[in-house]
Amino acid sequence: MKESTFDRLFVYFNHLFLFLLLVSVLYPLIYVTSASISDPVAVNAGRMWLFPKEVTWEGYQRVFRDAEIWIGYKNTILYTLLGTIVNLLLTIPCAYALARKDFAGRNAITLFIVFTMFFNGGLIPTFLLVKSLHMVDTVWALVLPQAAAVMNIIVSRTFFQMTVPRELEEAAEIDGCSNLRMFVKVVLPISGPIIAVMALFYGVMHWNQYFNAMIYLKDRDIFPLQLFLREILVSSEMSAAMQTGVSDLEAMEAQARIAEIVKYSVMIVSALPLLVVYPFLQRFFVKGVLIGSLKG
Amino acid sequence: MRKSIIVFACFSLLLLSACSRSDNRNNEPSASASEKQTPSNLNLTGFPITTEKITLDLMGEKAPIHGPWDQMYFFQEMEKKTNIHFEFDTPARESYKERKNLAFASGEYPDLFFGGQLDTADEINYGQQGILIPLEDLIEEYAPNLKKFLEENPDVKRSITTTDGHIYALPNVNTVPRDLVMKPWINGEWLANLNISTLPATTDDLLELLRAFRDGDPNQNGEKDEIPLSAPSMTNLRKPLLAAFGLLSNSIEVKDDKIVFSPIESNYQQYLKYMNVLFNEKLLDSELFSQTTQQFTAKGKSDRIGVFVHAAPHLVLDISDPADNAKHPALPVLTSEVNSEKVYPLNSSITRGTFAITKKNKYPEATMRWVDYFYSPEGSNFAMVGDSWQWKDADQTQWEFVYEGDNKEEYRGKIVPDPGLPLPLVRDNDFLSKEYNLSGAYLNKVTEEQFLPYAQTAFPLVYFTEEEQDRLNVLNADITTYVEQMEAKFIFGQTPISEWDNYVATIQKMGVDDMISIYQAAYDRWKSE
Repeated sequence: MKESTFDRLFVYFNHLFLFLLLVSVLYPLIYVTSASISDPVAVNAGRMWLFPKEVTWEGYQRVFRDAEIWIGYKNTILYTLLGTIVNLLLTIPCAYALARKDFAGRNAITLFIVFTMFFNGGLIPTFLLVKSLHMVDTVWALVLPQAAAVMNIIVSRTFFQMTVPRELEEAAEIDGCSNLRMFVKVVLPISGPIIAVMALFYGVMHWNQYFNAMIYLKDRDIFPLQLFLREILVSSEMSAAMQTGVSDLEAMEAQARIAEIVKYSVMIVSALPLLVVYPFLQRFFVKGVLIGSLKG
Repeated sequence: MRKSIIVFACFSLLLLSACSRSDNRNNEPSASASEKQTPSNLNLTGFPITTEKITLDLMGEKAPIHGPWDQMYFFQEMEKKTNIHFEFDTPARESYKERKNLAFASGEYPDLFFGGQLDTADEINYGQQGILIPLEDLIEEYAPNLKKFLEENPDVKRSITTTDGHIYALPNVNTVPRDLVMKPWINGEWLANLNISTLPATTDDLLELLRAFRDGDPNQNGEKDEIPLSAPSMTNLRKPLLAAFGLLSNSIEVKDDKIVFSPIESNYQQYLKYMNVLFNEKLLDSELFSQTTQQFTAKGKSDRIGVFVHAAPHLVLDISDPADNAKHPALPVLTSEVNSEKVYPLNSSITRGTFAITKKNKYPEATMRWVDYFYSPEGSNFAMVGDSWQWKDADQTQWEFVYEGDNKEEYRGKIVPDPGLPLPLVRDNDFLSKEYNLSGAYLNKVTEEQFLPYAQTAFPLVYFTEEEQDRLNVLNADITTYVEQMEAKFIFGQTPISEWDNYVATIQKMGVDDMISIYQAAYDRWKSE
């Protein structure tokens, strides 16, 4: 089939547009990678803009020497795994139940769940609740208060409504299948994409989580990676603000220097696992999310 | 649908009723601070402070350079010495404020704050609510060092006594000369390269020097990449330049016990004109209003900056040996056509809100004895350097800090909580000046000789009543923002200086007279205490 001029023009601009998009996504990645092995003075002076200048590995050496970063790493992996499992155990069955047309009161329950999307107790009441449940300073403070995200339940519910035909369920029912068994043996096997997508959503959420950890955790041995990372990144900014009035300029200077050296390497180290996992989950992504959200 | 609404309503009711079951915790009896008889566990003098070990909850801000507090030599040794053990809650700097507010708001506050960074609003609000206990009686009875210090320094006492006459938090006092003024420096190598030997004494001299730096290629790289005048921020740069025009601040200052608002003074207009000339002649760093400290320092390390305002030359220029600081002279305190008297702004030596005791604390007397130790020279030095130092000579005229690893401050941050955080103590100048530290000695000398004779505080640390504070928050937000915006516009020439009268009128419309009278009232109270 011959393409018309307009078609060719369209394809041309399409490629151009996608190329620009690619550059805008790729550039920060390359920049951070290069900056992580460049001399911070060169980075700040603007001499490094794409490829590494005055290569130094000091940043990585410091990161790998720093015991706390590894503690953080270990904890983050633990929280991500544990948190995601809890999330999936709640989200998927809940979404499926809500997707079933023969489930009595499902609209009311949906409404109730959605209500929490718009209204919540606020920081201090939530803190007091978590405190009274004796979860402060434990892993559970990071896992249980956000055991399910409403948005994700709705996306999964829509997925089940769209992809699990009523006829399939009826067929199983006629064969005498119980609801639980139907969920495990019939529905789950055809729901791979949505489970993968939910795992990714929740996983990324847990991986990047810092606020709850900041509020609820005191013991540095159970801090997630993001808290340590944040300490490092923010410290270089704070030192500038504290420059007047406070003494200890040398201390400030020393900590700013460390932060400058370590900043980009820590970013790489903390983002790497997700970057590695992402391509493998990506193929589910398109399927799952498109079906789950757009058609709903 | 109707059914669903009913079910929803039921759920909501259930939830509400669950919420409304109020619990009356926090009613546990709290130790009253004014108990007169000595608690049985307490030793009135010497160490240990308590005969049996006690445990207290401590909250403090962990500076980025600190190691974990429970592993610090400082706290471990203090525990052995005093028998007081702490459970630490040390949120990192960027989350500290949030955590502190949450602690107060939720009633989960600790027994004491150490390095607590309480602001004046905390002191006043939580002091009046009774969460922070008044300390003056405890100081009287259990803090001989602090008591003596406050008697000798009534200014400090005035500045930590709130409007209701109570002291709720203890200060850090730092009178190390080099910390008291932010100094301007001249790149000494550039001076040498251009054969300039006389340092500027007036604003006109400075203009000439900057022009020479701009045109003479002082860094000798054949390129016109020199930035004659720069600083990490306007806050720094303003100090020497405003001072040249006789002003100590770009806000409130005291002149003969009268409060004035500097940005509407006529000398401030002269300052703006001067800065505008600097900008037009490309003598001023064009990134001054936007750069980060790191970007500024990077320029310095690349030998592109001539005159700059920063704590020390070696923190900006590419100097590896701190002794080389002495090659770079300080820009002298300048005078100008409109101001023949030399003045320079003095930083406050007091940092408030570093320590407080809450009503939960069952051992306020022991806690006060514990903190009082740091107001003695011995305790203060212990909090500064631990025991990681030794005399360099038999006469004990010089000592040096002994450390492992490649950075002194990093090591210090692992053993004591002093680096990067104001602690409740008085720095022992006598001891600190004996440190074998070439840059420090030079900075102290320059400060003492060239700046301290002219240095004055713009406005003392005072407390405002709640009412005053509320009004000030509004006024300050408007006026300060406007003043700083207009400063930039005048300097960059976006607003011609002929607009000056409009500018003053606008500030007056914003209520600057109210602001001045509030400060005047607070100052008069401070003065009379």
